[in-house]
Amino acid sequence: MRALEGSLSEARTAELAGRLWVAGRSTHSLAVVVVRESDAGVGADTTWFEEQQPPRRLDDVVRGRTTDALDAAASAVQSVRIALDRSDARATRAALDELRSASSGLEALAEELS
Amino acid sequence: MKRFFAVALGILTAIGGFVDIGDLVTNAAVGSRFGLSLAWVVVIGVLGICVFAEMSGRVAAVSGRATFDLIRERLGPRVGLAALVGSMAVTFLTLTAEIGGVALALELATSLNYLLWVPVVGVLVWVVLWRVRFAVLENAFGLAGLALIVFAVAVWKLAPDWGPLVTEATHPAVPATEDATTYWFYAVALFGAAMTPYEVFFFSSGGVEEKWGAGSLRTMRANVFIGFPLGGLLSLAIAAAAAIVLRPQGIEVASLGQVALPVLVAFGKVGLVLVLIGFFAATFGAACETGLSVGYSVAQYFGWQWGKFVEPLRAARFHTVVLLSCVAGVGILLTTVDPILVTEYSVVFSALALPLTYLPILVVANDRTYLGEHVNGRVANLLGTAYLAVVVVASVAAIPLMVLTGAGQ
Repeated sequence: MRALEGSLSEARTAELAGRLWVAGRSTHSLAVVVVRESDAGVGADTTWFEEQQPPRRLDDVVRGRTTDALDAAASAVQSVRIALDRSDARATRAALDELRSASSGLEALAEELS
Repeated sequence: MKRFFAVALGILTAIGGFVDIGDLVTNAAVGSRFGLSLAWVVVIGVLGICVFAEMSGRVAAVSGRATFDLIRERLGPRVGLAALVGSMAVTFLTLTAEIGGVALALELATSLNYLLWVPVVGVLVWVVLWRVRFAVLENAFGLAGLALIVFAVAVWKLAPDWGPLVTEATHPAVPATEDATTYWFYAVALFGAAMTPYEVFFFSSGGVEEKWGAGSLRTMRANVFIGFPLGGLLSLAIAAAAAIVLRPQGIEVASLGQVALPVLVAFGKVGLVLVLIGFFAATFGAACETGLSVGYSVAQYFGWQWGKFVEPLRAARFHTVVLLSCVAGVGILLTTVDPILVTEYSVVFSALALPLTYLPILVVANDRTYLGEHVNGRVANLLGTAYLAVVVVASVAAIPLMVLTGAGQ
């Protein structure tokens, strides 16, 4: 749960910062810094989760699903960061859509497990 | 008219100078996780800082001497040393956090990594403390810090559903998504952020710098009892903005950039400019105040010449302490420790050190030798004693709560 909630927070932060830039409501500098921090945050959450030992064999399924959701979020945040670094608005929009889908996946899994 | 402007300027700088990196980060973090259910802590904390700032300001105005000067004389070198070590350690940690905060604000403005800014900020802080007059330093950053009012305007512009927000603030309870231990950890952190020890040392030493006398008591009280609560409202506005924009999205604040996002949602780039000015002024002003406070407390304890009201050469040891503090703060940040983590620890350790700061002030403010007819009255003593009890509870609970919650994780 800790990793899921942490990653969801970072993913939503990156999404908000990216959308504000695409809408012309934020500077490129701020968006880049915020998304860069989110990228590092999601990465740290994913690494932390991967280091945990599942308590029982039955938990391997949950572990696998969680890892997939975290990886999808990490990959989507990376895509937003890369597009932003290139100041590519079109690619940023596409990456933000990918990120929204990944965030929804994280949220759904977090709700299911809580 | 001149008196009116002096009072107005004092109040404005008190408002603008009230918020620092600890208030920015802690209030936004609390707003994003607990909404306004911890607003009562800000209210209690602001009233507490008013009570003790008024006492220490009165001591400075009537006796013409600053707090630490009298603490050692009145309570002896051992108790004075305990107060000095506790308060100075927390103030130094806060200075480090503030320098980091300025660097983070500059990173948000330029996208250059904050570590590149840290040495630049350290040098700038030291140059300002060395060269710039006290009144200029206090007024310039205090007034620029008023840019943070944009948070309050953003709350209004975002047009939230006021009912749940007001209910949450007036009927505090642990949110269903959080546990009670974490709630109380953040209550202590918020209390520590509101009652940071350096504020009273800076306030009383500033009174001596500005040559307050008994005639300045009214102006001083106006600054404290109007300026500080309005500054507290700014803190609540930061929490409310985070509660309105970030909390519904599940965003938990862990960086300065996230603190700014609600204002961008409300006002776009214009809001961002104001936020960045506010962040810079609040953190740079607080870096100067904490840098001076470290120098003040050490120099006053050892009886050295101190202050910016004399030429730097006449207060060489005081300025050396200030310089070494800036260098050490920069050194700590260059180890790549996260400035936000330093901030979180500084507000918790601030809560831990509160009794060491506020008990001696209460004792000195009750001594007729120094204060004569201006000694504490019944109300001041009642409030002071009640707050001392709260401060002791917060101090005792701070570390266990930090360990139990993994620093609020």
